[in-house]
Amino acid sequence: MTGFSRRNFIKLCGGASALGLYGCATTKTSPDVAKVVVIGGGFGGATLSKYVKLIDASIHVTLVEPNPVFHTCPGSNNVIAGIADLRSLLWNYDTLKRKYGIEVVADEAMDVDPIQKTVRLKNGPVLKYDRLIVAPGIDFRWDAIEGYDQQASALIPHAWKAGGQTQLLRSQLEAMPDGGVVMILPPANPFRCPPGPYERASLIAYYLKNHKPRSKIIILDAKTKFSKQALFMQGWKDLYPGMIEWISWVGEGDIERIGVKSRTVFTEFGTHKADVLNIIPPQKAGAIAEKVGLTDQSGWCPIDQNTFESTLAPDIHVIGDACIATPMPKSGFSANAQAKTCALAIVNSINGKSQEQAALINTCYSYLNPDYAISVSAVYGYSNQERKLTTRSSGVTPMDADRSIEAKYARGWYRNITADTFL
Amino acid sequence: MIKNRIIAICLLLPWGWVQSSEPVESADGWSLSVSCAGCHGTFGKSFSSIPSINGLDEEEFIRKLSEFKEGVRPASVMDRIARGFNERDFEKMAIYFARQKRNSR
Repeated sequence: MTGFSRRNFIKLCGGASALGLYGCATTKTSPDVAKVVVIGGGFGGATLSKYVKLIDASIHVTLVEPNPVFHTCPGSNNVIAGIADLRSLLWNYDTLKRKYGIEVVADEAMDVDPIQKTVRLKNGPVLKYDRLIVAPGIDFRWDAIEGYDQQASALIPHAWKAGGQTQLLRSQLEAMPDGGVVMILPPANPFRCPPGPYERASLIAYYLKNHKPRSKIIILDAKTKFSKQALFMQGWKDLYPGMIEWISWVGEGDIERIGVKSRTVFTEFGTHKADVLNIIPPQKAGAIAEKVGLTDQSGWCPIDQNTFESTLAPDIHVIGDACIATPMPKSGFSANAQAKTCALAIVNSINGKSQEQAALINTCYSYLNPDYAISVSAVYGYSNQERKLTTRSSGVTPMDADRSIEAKYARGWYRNITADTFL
Repeated sequence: MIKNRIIAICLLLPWGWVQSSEPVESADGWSLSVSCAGCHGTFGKSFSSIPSINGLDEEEFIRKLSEFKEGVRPASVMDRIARGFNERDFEKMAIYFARQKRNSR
């Protein structure tokens, strides 16, 4: 096979196929086919599965995801505000299976043996891998706020994983009388979707302004500043004057406990009673990451930011919200971008090539109403000198920019990134 | 002899395998360009009001990106993105997107 490159092989095959000469793939069960196993079918895991196949379709990819469908968090604040239906957030894995030949296993990964390089499933057989990608998203620190545990979230929604929780918060807003108080408790950094709580406050205000105009929204923040703060504050003043009150950590201090039945928040300096309470708890990497030993004391997964390979376990890569990709924020867009860089690193490594210079982009759009959006975006690259990801450029919507164009882009972005991930 | 064997192997390949081999054509451009897909769609083909960039002429691509970067082309997002790339990056991405099929726009 000397002098016979993969590229020539592809070209020749392209020629043969153009004549309509094609058949079925037979390499799937061959023992020398490289095996990639992906745990988690969100923006990170789904994109990675698709792009590994796009780069090298001969690699066998298994995507392990217990849920047959996926509700995106992007767009979920629209559902909470009654602007969109929960079904608009719904995606499945049919196209990934059919179009790209990814094996999608509806099962839960219980444990990983990094020596034997196997994944144990709850119901199915043990999976062998050459490279494992762990993309479990977030889990909540249920021990962080006294009184607010998983059981309490059935009464006081977090709505920070989309689906039933999104619907629960929507129902509570619908049931609330005019003049009620909605309280949102965003966590300290780092957490999934930094501008998310403030978009949520904006869109709830949009709903209340139209349906329950005497109501109020209070944001009791665990931080002293937040993402796109000046733009949000400007928008709140213009669109919802006097309706949204943001209280910094400086004003209230830590949350000491939650009275679940009475929907009361006890802080260091005061007591607040809400009609609808939304607690976004502090977070950590999804449970499987901790179980496999991929997390450090922070609860997140340290990685080589060039290849997204875990620094704690060889041949295991972590992408998306679970990994420490600072300065990138934890977002669906970041996970999608990281998945592509990681996919290339894995395929290059399998085929004995070195990693290429990549660019990672993140843009987070936030709606303040359906025709008014703002954004923060940045380009990141791996610095060989600093051996980490660095920000090459960044910026937010200019204060005088047309917000309706950004809203149009926000809708377009959702359409394209979900297609890039699931279709 | 070897050519016959290759054709024989090719007969066993499904369509998707061959079609999806396209991105490896320009490896370095690929790794820079795939980040654009988050907004502009896979291979630069958009399904929304965000413009498609697949099949764009190389010179046009480089000119537009340079104008965004210099702030002389009206924008509220692309100027911020373009500043994260240099001229060499623009050239690599231009080659990548020019090679994507225009007819799929």
